[in-house]
Amino acid sequence: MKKRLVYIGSVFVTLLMTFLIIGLIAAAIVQFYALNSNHILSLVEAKQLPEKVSASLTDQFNTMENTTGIPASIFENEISPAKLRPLISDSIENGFSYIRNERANPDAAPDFSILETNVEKFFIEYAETNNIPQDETFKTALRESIQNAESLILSECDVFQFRKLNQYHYLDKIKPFTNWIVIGLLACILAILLMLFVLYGINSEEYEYCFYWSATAALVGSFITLIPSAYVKSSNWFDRFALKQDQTFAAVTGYLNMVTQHIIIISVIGILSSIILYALFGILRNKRMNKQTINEARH
Amino acid sequence: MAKFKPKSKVKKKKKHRNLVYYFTPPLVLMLALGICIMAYIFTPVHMVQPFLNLIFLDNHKLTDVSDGLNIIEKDIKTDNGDGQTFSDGKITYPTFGEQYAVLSAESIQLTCGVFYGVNKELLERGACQSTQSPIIGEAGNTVIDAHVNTYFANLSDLKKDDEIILYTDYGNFTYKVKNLIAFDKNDKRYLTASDQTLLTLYTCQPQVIGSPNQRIGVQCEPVSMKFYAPN
Repeated sequence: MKKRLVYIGSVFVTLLMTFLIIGLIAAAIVQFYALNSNHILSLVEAKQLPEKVSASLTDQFNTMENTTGIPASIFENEISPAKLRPLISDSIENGFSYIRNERANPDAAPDFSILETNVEKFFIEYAETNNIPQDETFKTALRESIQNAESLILSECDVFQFRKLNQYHYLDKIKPFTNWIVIGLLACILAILLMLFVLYGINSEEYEYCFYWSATAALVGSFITLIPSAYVKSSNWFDRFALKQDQTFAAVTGYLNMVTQHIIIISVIGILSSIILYALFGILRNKRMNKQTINEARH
Repeated sequence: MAKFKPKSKVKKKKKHRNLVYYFTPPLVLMLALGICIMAYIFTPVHMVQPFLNLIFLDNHKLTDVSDGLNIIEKDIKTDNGDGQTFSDGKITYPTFGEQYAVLSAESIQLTCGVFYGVNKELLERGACQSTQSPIIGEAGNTVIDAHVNTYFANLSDLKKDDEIILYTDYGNFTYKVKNLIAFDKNDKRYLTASDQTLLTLYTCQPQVIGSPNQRIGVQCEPVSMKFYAPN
């Protein structure tokens, strides 16, 4: 009867530990990878985001040339991959800093002075050549053209669409939770340690079973995080992402695949840890059984 | 005196105990999965599902990730045919990037494909229907736009009562121009949902120099809805 109670108690504690391990994996992934700008910035080069943004902007300014009359060549230097790289990195850095409550807004404030000078120079030359009066209408058209060009460049460089998400207050829904991630992480660690003490208390007569139950919790918790992540990664599920704009698609799917990959790695580490714990349990159990056998033989 | 237990019984008990501990991890896994399923059903987590379906709605399995958009151009019949038609019928829902209609406006000699979804690549190929507006044939305000320097170059020549026909694989739909409209690019009043069934076509207002901030177009009301198959 006592052994049954010990078994049932241990199963219950193991279940609790399983969910604590899942919570720990989730909190660790979010804290160290999902919201870590250094990891995310590696996507800029890995996914060739500056080249994609540059190609998109070149296409758009070429298309707009027909309606605006402004040659795309005016913007060429300012939309090269080299010029866009810091803008894209800033937009990613600012966006994730905003989510982590380290900034007041996710907007970047780049220096467009060269672009403004180029557009103004073109407008003035065009007006002088075509005898267009440089009146208020002209100045308004110039100002709006500059604003539209800057807005377009910033919008294209905002590969994760933070400005749009912020505009519709979606980021405000996520922000309150980021303060609790570190607390959650520490709480999970403390709770797991507490569960280990409880397990030791329940299995004090055969303490090697603590390793068995810890291994079971680690194995089950890791399986639960591994299986959906492995399915999503192997089926390229994130390629179903609805926004097909090249740079946004590459950035978002690259980010999601990166996070999924880290979940898989941590889950595999969890499974390997459980194997080590099972092995330790086996060794200690064998030792105890051998000791018992020797004692029985003596008596 | 110590309780005597036959050796065989002790061995059997140990074997039984070992079996229990072999089957415990799968048991714990099933219990944990059961708790996860119950949590999914009984907590608001399942309410996230429609949003996930919307964000990941493109169910074309892509082999090359860099391709992104899957553009489908189709040959759609633009004659009315002799078959029976119905005033209410079945709609075949398109996927993002699929050309699912042909727009025809004889008064301005316009014929162009209509794609489902709006982006740079699709706008190069034809007119584009906003995914936030209802499908052609559904109730509400169907919004279609195209570039002024390509397909909708003559849109501003449309007049009141001019006829516009949209041909699809599931029916053909005739509209007539009700209003000529002009609005700022940030003004969404002609592009939002409506209780009335309307067709809104719009494009940029052409200007000599500078980025156009004005949009021009037409709002049309339905004259006839002919579905090829009943609902």
